[in-house]
Amino acid sequence: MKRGLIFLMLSVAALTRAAEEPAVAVHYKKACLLRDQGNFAAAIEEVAQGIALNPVEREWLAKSELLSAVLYQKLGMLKSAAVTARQVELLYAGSEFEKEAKALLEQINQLIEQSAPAE
Amino acid sequence: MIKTAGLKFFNRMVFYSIGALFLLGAAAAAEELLLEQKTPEELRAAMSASGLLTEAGRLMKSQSYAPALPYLTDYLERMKKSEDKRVLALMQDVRFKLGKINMLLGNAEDAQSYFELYMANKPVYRRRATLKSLAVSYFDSKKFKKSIDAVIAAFAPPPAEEEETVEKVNIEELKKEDLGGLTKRQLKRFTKEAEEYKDEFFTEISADKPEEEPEYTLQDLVLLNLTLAESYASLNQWSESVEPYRFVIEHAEKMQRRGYATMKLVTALSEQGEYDQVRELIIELAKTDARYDIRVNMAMMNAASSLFNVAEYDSALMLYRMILPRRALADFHLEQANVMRRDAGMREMQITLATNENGRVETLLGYKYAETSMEGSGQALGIEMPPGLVEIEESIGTLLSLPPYEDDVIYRVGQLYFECDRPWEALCAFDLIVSHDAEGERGLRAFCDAIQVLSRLELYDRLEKRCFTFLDQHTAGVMPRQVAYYLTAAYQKQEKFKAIKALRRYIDGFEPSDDLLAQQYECELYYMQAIADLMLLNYKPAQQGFQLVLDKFPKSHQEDNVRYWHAMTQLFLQDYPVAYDEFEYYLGNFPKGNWIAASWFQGAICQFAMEQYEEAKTRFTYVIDTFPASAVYPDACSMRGDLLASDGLLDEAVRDYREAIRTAKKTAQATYATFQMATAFELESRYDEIIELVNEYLESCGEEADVAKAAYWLGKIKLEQGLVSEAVDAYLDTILKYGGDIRQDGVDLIISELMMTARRLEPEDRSQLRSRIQAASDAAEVGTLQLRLRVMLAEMDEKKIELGETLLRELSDLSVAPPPVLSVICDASFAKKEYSRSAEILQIFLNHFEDSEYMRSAYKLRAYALFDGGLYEEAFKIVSESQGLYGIDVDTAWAQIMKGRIELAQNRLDDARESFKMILTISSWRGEPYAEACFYLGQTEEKAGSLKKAFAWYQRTYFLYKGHAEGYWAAEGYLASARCLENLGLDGDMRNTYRAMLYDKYVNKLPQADAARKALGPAEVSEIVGKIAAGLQTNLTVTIQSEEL
Repeated sequence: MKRGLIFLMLSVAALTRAAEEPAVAVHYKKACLLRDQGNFAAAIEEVAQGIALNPVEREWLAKSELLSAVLYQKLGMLKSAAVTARQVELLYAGSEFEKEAKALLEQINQLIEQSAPAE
Repeated sequence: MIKTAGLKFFNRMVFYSIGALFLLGAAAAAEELLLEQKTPEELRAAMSASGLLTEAGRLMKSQSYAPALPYLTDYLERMKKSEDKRVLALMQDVRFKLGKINMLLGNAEDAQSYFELYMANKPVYRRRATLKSLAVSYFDSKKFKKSIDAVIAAFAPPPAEEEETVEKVNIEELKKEDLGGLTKRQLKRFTKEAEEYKDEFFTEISADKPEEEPEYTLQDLVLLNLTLAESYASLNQWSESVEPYRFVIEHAEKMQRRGYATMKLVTALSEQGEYDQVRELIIELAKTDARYDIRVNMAMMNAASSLFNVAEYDSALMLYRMILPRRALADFHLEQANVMRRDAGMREMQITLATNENGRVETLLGYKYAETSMEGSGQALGIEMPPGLVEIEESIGTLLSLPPYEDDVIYRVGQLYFECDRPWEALCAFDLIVSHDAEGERGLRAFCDAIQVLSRLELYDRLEKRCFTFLDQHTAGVMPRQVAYYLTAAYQKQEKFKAIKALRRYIDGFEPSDDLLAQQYECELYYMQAIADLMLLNYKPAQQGFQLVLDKFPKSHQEDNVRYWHAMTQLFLQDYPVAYDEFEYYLGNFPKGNWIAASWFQGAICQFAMEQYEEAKTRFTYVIDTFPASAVYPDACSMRGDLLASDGLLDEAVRDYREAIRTAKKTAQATYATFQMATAFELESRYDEIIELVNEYLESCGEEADVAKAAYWLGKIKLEQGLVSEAVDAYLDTILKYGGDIRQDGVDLIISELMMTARRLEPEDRSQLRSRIQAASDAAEVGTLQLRLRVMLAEMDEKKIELGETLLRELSDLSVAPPPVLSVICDASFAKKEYSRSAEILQIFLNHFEDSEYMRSAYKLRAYALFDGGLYEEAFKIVSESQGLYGIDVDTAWAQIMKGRIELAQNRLDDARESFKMILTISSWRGEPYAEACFYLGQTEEKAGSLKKAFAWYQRTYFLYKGHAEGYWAAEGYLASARCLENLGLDGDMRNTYRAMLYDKYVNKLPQADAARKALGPAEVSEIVGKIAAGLQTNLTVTIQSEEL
């Protein structure tokens, strides 16, 4: 490539350096507040917005996904809760999040078992 | 020999000395050629073979590869007949060079031709190099099979065949005549100078066998393995590609190349379903810097997509998460570049943002390249650029110039979340894409996907709002149709069929489109419109809707379904012959259709409705024998059971019912068969079996069981066993428990049974029961249960007509009324001859309570309404349906009378006579129906002109049935008799008839008696009144000669 002036069209969001807190963290914290207020539906939507950004901030993403699994559980969406917890376990293998996800998954599986119709 | 060697040497020296010759005399020669103004072809033609090679060498040395080509090709042409081994060796070398030059120039086809020629001729001194070049060139030309063959040949050991070599010449040993006019010294100098040029092409043109061709280097082997793997992958020969990819991963020097090969191996293993290995590879890759290579990232996208497509969501998500945004990649490379720059004492680069004249944000990469080159670059400052820095800086530029693939990743991850049941994450991902690119292709797709997620999350308000906003703004193309489709589907899920119908105006308003997909969606939408009508029980509009789909979208993807449902609407509209024909059409035209078993079954239902019972039975049997796994199999068993039961074959019927229960796919199927079987048992007083059957039913169907109907049967058995009090308690409990649900038709059965039982109760028990019902009614909220209880009270108080009149006023919407309530409304309407809602009530019954016993009164009201309006054919149809349903039950004598009256009105006197006489043969209709039949037989004969016969029937009416219907028909008989006698000219008999009427205590107080008083006059009437007051009883009779009735 010849060197020269290159203008590249990119969105501000894609390129602006996050001088402030990453978006995923902002969503996560807001979701925690909503969760504490018992507004699980709003909380999960909030935290999911952060996850959907596909952020590179791995730790915040892990926290967000764990919270998402918990919120699915609170909303009675046990299958979604189990899937999310399982994926956290897999995606963050070897980390503290894996352990937390594993414990949560066991809890969710128990609930699933309890809610299953008796044979 | 020496001479030959010397000449050859001279030739070779010429080749070697192109540069030297150029230095020595090229300028002068060029000037001379210019003066002569010859064409290049002429110039080459004038050159010797060695001159051609000399000039080619000169051009190649100056990197003018394209101009060298004609000299080399001319040389090959010139020497093609040569058999001299050295010339042949030279020609081979020229072919090799031609191959290389053409490759360099991008002329792959020519390059391959020369390499192929090289491999086909001898000597082959550069076998490995040629095969490597061929393999790469074939791959670039997408000739994957040939590329694979070339690599395989390259890896194979060379042929054992001995190559004849050309000896190397020693200048010192040359004789004078072999020196070509040059001195040995000159020749040595030229040789030396030529070697100093070090130009690959130049120095390598030789007929000499080079040193033993070296083995492939590791780098070569990596290249060959990658080429081989990629060729296999391109041919989808995934398993063959694994080993060469693994070689590249293990041996490639560059991390990026290893990363790329890893990702391609991921794809290959995914294709083979080796997902465990895939996951391991991904984890390994994540630990390396290869993930910062854009090609690796692109390969990760492809691999993730492959994994997604085979539902390996966890691995796919892992990959998608590893794909880094352009900015992260650029930052990584920027950091690397800046490290190099710092080390070299250069200024650091940075990515900056700028706003262009349109106010758009633009980026200026790096240290602004233009400025870098002018003022900030190391070169400008006299600092040497570190090796590799330029490549890194260029790769950053490339990265940032890529289209924003981050949105692709977010979108695909959104799809992944949706598939693996993380709907909230999916929704937010799709919304994010929409916010980036609302009207772009991906944005629109994401919009539709988001609607589907909203539907899954049952966020219908949001879904509706988004859809309507979109539909209000878009009318053209696929998208609005797709959005309307999703909205319709969401409404279907909620069973909001009226809301589906409200979408019709949007669908009608779409701009016509030739797009196949748009047409398919539109077809689907109209189909769903018709289905909505069907679900709303609007059969006629549904039929029109299905017809519209057939007309507007001939041969559509939905034709199979539409044809079936069109036939079904005919069935629902009770046009059985047409429905039957349509089912037959379906069977004839859709032999592999979705509704084969159903069409056979529904055709049998049509036959059943057309009273073709044997044909229906045969067809039900065909369904049973042919489609044992179908959804209609249990229904076919039940229907055949009904037919067998009606033939008195109860054991066979019970066997079918049991089979229906055993194979029921829906509770309704088991419910129907169970209670039909209970009815069959009841005919043989097999009460214990009924109890057992009903209990089994309750156990197997659980919460879905029709508990009220079961309670009805259990109560009925208790009554049969004389346990009246228990039965009454159980009935009342069930009514109170389930009476609030309008769909519990078992409750209505219980009400009917309880009311019949109440009539037989002791007054005290009856009074107690009434009090309990009254208390429950007072306690009940306004609603279905209270309505049912009010009907029960009215029936016990014999005030049904009054209640019916009240309810007619109270209930503007009759669809909320349960069958007993509708029934009292019918009775009240009938008493008042108020027929205006007769059609509505019957339709409610047909749509919602088809099996209800209370529907009888609706049929009667409707038949009278139609007859009253002179609509005899329609009335006749209703009569026939009613008789088909209820036969000769006590309370359906009206239907037979109505039949006769219609025939009478239509002047079909023989039919009428037969219809009325038939009534007199049914013992259960003794009483008022007999009186009515006799009277209308009189009317029939009167209309036929047989006045004496008519008189006889009238006389029979008032003689025999004056005690029925409060004397109404007897009074009518008196008056009609008098009319006949008058018409026969028997005035005396006529007056006697009137007298008899006034003496008759059953009728003389009825309004009809006024006619007799008027005919006799005040004096005679006064006399009769006096005589009656004095206690006189007459036996006035009129006897006339009559024909046999």
